Amino acid sequence: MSEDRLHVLIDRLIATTTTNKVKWVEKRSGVAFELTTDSGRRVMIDSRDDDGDPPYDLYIFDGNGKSLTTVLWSTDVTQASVPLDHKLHRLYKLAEDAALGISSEIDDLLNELPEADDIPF
Amino acid sequence: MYWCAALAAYVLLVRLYFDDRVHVRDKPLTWLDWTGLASIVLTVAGVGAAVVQASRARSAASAASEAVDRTLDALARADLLVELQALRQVEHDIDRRVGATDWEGTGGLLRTWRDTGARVCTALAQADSTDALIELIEGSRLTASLTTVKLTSAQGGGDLIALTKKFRTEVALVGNHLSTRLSELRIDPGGTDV
Repeated sequence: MSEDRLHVLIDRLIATTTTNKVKWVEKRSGVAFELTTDSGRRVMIDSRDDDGDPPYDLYIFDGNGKSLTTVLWSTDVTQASVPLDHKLHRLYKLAEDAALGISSEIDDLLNELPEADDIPF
Repeated sequence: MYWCAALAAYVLLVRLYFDDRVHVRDKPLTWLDWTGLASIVLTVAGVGAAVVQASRARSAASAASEAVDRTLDALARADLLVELQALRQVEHDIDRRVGATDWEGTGGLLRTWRDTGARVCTALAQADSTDALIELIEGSRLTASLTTVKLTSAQGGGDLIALTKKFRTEVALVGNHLSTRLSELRIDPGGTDV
């Protein structure tokens, strides 16, 4: 698969995740997140070292569970080196947020907290 | 005390300089002259003693500093010994885990190899950045990272032996060098046998 197509794929995943048009679920104890399409294809974004940090890799499986392709972080270190790394990072964080409902939890927490009365100046 | 002796010696020399008496033996020396002469002797002796003491202090400080360096070096070598042994353990365990088709265990060993290898490379680089073992380990660390991806991609359904073949080969290469390095450290981990 050409790199352009990979960028298109990841851009689309980012866009659909941001607009909540796809559903991500937590896998592998919260270090990987997966979505399943209507045709049964699966897309998984994974923290390679199982620590929630980069490197992140994107896996695509067909409906039978067979691996179609893998989009790898460009190195084996945490630092993003190329644009694709930055996109994988962004997708992972969005997928994590969507799967774990982090933003919703924070919104609920903000609603629970009382308003601050003190004005500093 | 030495300053007083030096002052007295100075006074005597000034007296002698401004005195008409050129030949000291022609006139009897007074008690003041004898005091001055004694002061000169004491001053010279005092300066000599000070020089010797300073020399000893420098040697002691230097010896203490060298002892600290040797201790730190021995500790660093002991740490490296432990880390190298950890790598050898992975080399020993990986074949067993792969043979038992233990995917999770194999994944754990891959991570251990990467993490421990990083620490070993850092320690080796501090001693000698051109150490050939560093390049070998770094290469195997990258292979471990990519093998992790392969295992994840296989989702437990592939051939674990084939997937890990390259990694296990590189681990074996590193292992050959580890044996030699461990022997060297055991013989001389800072000067004493382990």
